Amino acid sequence: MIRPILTEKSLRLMEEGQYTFDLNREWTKPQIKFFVEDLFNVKVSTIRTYRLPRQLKTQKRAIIQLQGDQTLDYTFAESE
Amino acid sequence: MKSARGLASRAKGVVVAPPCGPGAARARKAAQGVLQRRPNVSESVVTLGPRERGTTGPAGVECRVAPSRQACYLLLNPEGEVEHLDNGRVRTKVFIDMYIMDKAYDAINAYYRNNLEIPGFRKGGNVPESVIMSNVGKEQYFLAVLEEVFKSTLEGAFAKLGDRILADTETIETPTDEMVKALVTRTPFNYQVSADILPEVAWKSPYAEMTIKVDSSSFSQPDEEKVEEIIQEFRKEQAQLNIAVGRNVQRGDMCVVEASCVRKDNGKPALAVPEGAFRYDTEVSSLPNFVENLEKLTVGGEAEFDVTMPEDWADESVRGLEVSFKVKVNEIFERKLPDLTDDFASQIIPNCTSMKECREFLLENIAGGKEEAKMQAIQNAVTESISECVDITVPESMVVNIGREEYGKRLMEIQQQGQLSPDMVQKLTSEKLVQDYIEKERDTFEMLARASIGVAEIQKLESLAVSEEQLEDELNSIQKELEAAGENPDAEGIKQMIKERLEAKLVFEWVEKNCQVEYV
Repeated sequence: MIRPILTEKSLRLMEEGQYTFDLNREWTKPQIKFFVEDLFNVKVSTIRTYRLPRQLKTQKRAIIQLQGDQTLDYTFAESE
Repeated sequence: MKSARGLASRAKGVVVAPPCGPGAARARKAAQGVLQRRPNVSESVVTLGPRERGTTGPAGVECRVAPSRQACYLLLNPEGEVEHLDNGRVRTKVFIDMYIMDKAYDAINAYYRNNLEIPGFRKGGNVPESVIMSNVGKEQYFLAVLEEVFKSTLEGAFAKLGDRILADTETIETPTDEMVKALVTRTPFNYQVSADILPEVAWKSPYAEMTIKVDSSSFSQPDEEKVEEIIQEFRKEQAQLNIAVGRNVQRGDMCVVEASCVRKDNGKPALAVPEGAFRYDTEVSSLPNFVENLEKLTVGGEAEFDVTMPEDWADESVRGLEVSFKVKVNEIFERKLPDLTDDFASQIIPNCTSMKECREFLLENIAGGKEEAKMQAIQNAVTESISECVDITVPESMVVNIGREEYGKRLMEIQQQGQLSPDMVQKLTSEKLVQDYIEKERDTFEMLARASIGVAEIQKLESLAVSEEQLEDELNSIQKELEAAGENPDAEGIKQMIKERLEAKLVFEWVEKNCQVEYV
């Protein structure tokens, strides 16, 4: 449903407090905002979304800017 | 997903301790952070950590700024203990601290960053350690780091012993699992390593007083005789085989026989005589009384007779034994040797117009060959004498290495002669066959190993050194030859090989000059 993206660009953005995810194409920005705030317990400032060329039709990519100095903890995804 | 955790914590300092730490940032954030996360790391390790690099700390720390061999030895083996084992090996412990570990991690990360295709990252880009690890596989990654640790530390492990450690004989005795565990938890650890050591050379008698007995049979035969022998050999090769009718076998015939051979003492088969009919050349037979008994037979004739195997027979197990032969002659072929005409001369040596010219050509070639044979005989004699004079226990690894080398050479020779298919060659390279060969020829290989140690010792004691010019000249000529043959030579490897060969040559010359040489 939601998958963090690790690329050179996403790492650079991460240092600026912006986190990149691939998620369901049907989700709207308010839905994404609600989901992220609820899941990570943070406040979202802005959301930018776009579709990559040749991306699966069911997905889109979102860059989420958090309010203030907040950071995201991905530990929920740790499989170990 | 899991790799994101490490990234997030690195980017913003989130309090999520990654299982393996955040790679290069770890070293730069100084040892303090590492120690805070790892309370079990002892204080003595702190002094060796990167924080202390270049400061006025203990000798081990200083060597990181200007590493010298001795200083590195202090670092890797602070207690300086080298244990001598019973089997001629030595053992020591190597200490791996955080600094060495970080260096290894950084080297491996850099390698994978530059060589691995990771989606979302360009080659050489700043790929996080956790991403590399998930792409490569944890096990593979940590083994690579461990390998890097060995690469950077093994050389210094036995620095105290100088050049006496034999190359490629090091065995890591600490279990890999233990070391990987220490790497994963970033805990300093020791590993135990053993290696073969060159023994102290003792001489049974002073080497300068050796008597070299050279077997001159290979080069003492008169040239003319040798020429006739070659021509005769060639005639035999070119001979026509005609069926001989109405007569007994004669020496020089080629017979088709059926034979069996058993030991007289226990009746078991001996000599691996082929089953069924096979060709037997009566001219080259070395079995006593065998041809004499065949000479009593005509085609279809059968005979049973006993033979006492000669004491110099190749197969040691049957030397001196009484064996019983049962032989049946199926066919007798006599050889019709070609006449020594001018036509035949051109068959022996292409473009030769007469037998006279052919003989002159062969004479010329034999003279050159004789010089080479003489040199070879002297070298063999010197090798044997040095080996007999040296009083040492040869390290097993040397015997094995020489054995493997010789086996490889023999295999290559057979392959070049086109006698074996690639499949057969593959089968012949099995470890068991190599081991069997080494066991069978152990005495020879031990002799060669002893001689090799003795040669090196004489070279050292007599200060026989190869000049740089001579080395360069030889290297250039060999490199040119190899390049002309379309091969890409490894300059360093060839240089080392040439140096060893020239040094050995110097020793041989010295021995020849200073010791008593007898031709027998």
